[in-house]
Amino acid sequence: MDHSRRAALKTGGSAGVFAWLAAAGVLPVSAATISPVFSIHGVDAVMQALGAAGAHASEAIEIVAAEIVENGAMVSVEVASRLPGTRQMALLVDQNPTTLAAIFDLPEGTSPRLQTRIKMAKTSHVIAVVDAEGGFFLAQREIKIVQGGCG
Amino acid sequence: MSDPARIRATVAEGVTQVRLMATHPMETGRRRLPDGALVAAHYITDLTVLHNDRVVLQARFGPSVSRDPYLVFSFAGGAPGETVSVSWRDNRGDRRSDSVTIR
Repeated sequence: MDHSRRAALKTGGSAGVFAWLAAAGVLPVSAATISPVFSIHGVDAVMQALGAAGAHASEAIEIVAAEIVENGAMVSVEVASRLPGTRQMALLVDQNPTTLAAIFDLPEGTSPRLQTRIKMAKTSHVIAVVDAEGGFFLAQREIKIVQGGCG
Repeated sequence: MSDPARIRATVAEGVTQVRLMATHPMETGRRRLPDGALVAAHYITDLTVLHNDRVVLQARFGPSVSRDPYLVFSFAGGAPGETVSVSWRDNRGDRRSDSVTIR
């Protein structure tokens, strides 16, 4: 996988955003490390920015969540990967205004299983993108939302 | 000043499980008050968990993470009496760090 390109994208991108935001006076300097991938809209574009374009679906990634959730403001999601060398997991929500919810870097020794809570604007697919030894893989799962929780 | 994160770290059979809840509004910047005014975006962007001085989890958040971000995960190692600490920084540049002793 093209890790160097991704790293370059991250640092180059955040430096650019940093300069722009600082110039615009929008953010204090210390807050300027926000990764630009969070402002990208759409699953394909986010995947591309993560360096994960063309990732294959894998049954070794499991997303544990309820099928129907009343309150989209707090949706419990657990992602577990059995892929060897899992070092990063990203969570995307295809119908959210902000597609990328979170990226988790897992150092050696940290279990590739993680539970968190995310907001979902409406019924969507939650997509887990995993960076492992053999490249990028993904799994997705639809979660039905009764009342959206993106404010 | 924000409230402390709630953290619990317990070790069993050589694996330490961490449960944490940071206290943060995680405003997306899209929510409106009853008078129609937008609530400014205010959310944690980076959260790091350390075991003693070693990073065991590095998370980057967007505004789609729920209010009071909650995480459960495990890492190999850890012993009762050692430290697990959680540090975060938000989009306004505020920071907070809290720690607990592994039980």
